[in-house]
Amino acid sequence: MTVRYITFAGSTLAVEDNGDRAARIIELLYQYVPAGEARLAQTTYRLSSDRPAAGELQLHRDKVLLYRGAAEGTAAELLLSDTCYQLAAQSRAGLLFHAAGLAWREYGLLLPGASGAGKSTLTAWLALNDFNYLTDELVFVPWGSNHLVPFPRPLHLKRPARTAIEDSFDFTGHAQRILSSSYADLISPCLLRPDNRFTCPPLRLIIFPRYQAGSQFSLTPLSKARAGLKLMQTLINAPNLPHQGFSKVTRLARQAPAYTMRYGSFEQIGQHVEALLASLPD
Amino acid sequence: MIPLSERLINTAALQIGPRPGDVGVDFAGWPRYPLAQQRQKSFYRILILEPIDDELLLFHPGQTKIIYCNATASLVWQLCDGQRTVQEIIELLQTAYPEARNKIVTDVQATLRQFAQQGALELG
Repeated sequence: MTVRYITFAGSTLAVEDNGDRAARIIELLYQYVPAGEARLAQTTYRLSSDRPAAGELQLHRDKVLLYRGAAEGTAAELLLSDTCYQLAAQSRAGLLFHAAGLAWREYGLLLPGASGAGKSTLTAWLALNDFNYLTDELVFVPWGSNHLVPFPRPLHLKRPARTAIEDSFDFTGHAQRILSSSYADLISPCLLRPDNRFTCPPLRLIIFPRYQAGSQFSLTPLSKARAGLKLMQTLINAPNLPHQGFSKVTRLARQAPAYTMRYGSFEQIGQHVEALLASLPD
Repeated sequence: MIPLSERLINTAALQIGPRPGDVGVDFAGWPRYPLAQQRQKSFYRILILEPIDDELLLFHPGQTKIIYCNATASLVWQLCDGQRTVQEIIELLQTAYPEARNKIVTDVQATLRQFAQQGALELG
């Protein structure tokens, strides 16, 4: 058995593995997440692959059984989503956004949005087109900072999104290294970009993406007040913060230009976003 | 182009209170609610304000609700000082924008109704 203490956004969790399969899953999920201090861990996850029967996985959060079955992809998805939830639920050290994050050169790009907005698919596509992948789910901005601290997890790509990037990414060739369920794929960022690095770049651009099948590409600037309003809607640790983090969010909204982006395909997206970032003053 | 609020101040010589001086400060006395001239209210609540450029965000911590005000709504809000009547606010704006006299009546009434519906102010 090995225990890993993962820390993010001021929260720490313990994740234990029992057995080789469990260890491989946990390595894929948390290999890039910074290590925390054992004494700070408030919740313990246990993933076992060596009991009670060979071939079966068991996942517990403390004493609560979350999963029992043979599907590695399903166990991994449950573990990842539950740990994300717990980290967010305990986070008080800054602003935690439901957002994807990427870096282009030294610039940080924030893509906030609710589930279904197309964040992960867009993030995968941008990572395959010159952007450095940071996260597809959680971005933390510590108090007093404007740097994006990503939760560096594998990309979680829903099955229908495969078609969007299959011309650029060899799913079949990487099948042994992707954890798949009937619902989604978990893809290590190093498969998307062998030289991918997890950095904490300063926020330079905010884009609220919205995928809409068949729609024309459009990029619409937002006023800072509207950007603040939309950012508040993606602040997932708001209940933990004084005044729901309102003033801090509006401070952040003042610091970077924001746009809404509607798209129906990926053509021209990279070029538009790069042009926007390149046009920003240093 | 001169911002709407500045144009109005210049044209109507209004005394609009100073903008909040810091981010996230609670302002006693907000919201400013328009009252009928003879009907003073003891209604009192604290909102958090974030003026950003010409726009405004009002945050209601109790209801965890945020009200976005575009430049025009922000201006109407600033004119709601607890002393002016709705009619006075309309007349000030009509003086500033005579070409939009008729539209101002309905716009101001609609904006104030929305503020009231969102719990940001109380109409006397």
